[in-house]
Amino acid sequence: MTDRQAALRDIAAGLLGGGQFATFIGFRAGLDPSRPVPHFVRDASGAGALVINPFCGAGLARHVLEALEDGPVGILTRGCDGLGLERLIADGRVARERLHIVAVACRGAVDPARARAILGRIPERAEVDAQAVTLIAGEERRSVPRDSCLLSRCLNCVDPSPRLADSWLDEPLPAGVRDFKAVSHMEQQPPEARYAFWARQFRRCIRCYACRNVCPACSCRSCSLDDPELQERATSLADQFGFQFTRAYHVAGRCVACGECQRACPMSIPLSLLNEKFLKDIRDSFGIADPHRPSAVEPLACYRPDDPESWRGDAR
Amino acid sequence: MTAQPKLVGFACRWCSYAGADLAGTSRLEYPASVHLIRVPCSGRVDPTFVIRAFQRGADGVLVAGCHPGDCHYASGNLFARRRFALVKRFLEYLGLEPERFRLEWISAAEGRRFAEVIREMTADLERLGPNRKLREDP
Repeated sequence: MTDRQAALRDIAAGLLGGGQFATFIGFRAGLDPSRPVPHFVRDASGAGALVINPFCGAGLARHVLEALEDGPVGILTRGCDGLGLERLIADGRVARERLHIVAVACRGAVDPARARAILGRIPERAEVDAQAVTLIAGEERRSVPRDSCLLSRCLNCVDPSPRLADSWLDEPLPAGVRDFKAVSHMEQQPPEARYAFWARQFRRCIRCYACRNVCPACSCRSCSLDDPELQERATSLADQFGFQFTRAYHVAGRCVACGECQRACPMSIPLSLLNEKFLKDIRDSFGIADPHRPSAVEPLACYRPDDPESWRGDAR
Repeated sequence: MTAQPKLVGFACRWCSYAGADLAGTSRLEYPASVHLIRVPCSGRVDPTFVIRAFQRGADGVLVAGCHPGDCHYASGNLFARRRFALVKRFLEYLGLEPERFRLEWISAAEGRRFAEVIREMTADLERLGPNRKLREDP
């Protein structure tokens, strides 16, 4: 852990000291040890503030849009950040050559709220491996299952390491295959139960737009969600369905499944369950393996003459 | 239900709208439930249009275009086919009844097919009753 942190600081200082890079994006310590925050380092002397630990949860990819205005950017990159950067590059929002990607293999990030609930106080450190999470505060060490305190997006993660890298802090971990278990489970519910579930979720939406603002696939300068009609009416349930449909559909075929929208949602709406439905259907209908990993042509920006039509008969 | 269901149909101007016209000039009978909106191509139909129709009181939505291979713009309907394959499943995932949304290929010569689709959909919607799930509160 400390080795990686020292290496990260060295690389960041080197990049910023060389004069070619204007910003390095990583994490610094936050208000409490379990909440590090995204951080822009602007000169070599500031690199000592960078930290790397299992509490680093926020996605970093989207921040390059702001940082690149000042010049080339170095960025700490886990698998999810890497997919986000690939998305921004594929969308023509970011030029690959203006990035220095410092890759790190990630075994999952700890949800600070859940960790605190388990420990009864704020954890100071955490250790994450493939089997368990160890939360540490003072003399106390407690080992708990991964699914009890990791961010939900990390539990479904199949991209622990980025595919793009300019330097590595450690050895890459192998990629996996998404199983869409949660989507399949939802699909098996009766329609009325599904509607009731989503009504319960969408009703909570406060239209803070955090889901859009953190999304690496949702960076259009002119955004459909800024439609005054969507902004001025947030009261009826039908509007909430309309808003959520529009957000999810507009990233369909472009979503990298980083789960940052769900992590950022202050109302804990399971947005990944919407995005993953599109991903699963793209895989099953159009035969595209791993549709969350950006490719040269987006699934909805192309067609095959023999795309299946059996779904059109579903109605009867 | 007693009131006739409201069906919003987006019809491509080259094929399906002409098909609807043929149904009319052929004096074919079909329910007056459909409110037809002429669009340049089925590929022009933004899925947001579909949602908006449901919000504004539609009980069902039909998107109708040229048969694959016959698109006036060569591939508009093929893009639409991919798009609405996802949209239809997604609406069902949110809990909407599958019968409320259909994508159909109706050529300019298929007045009979147009009338048949409207009859089928109207019967389905009568059976289901009004759309209350996606409709804005009155």
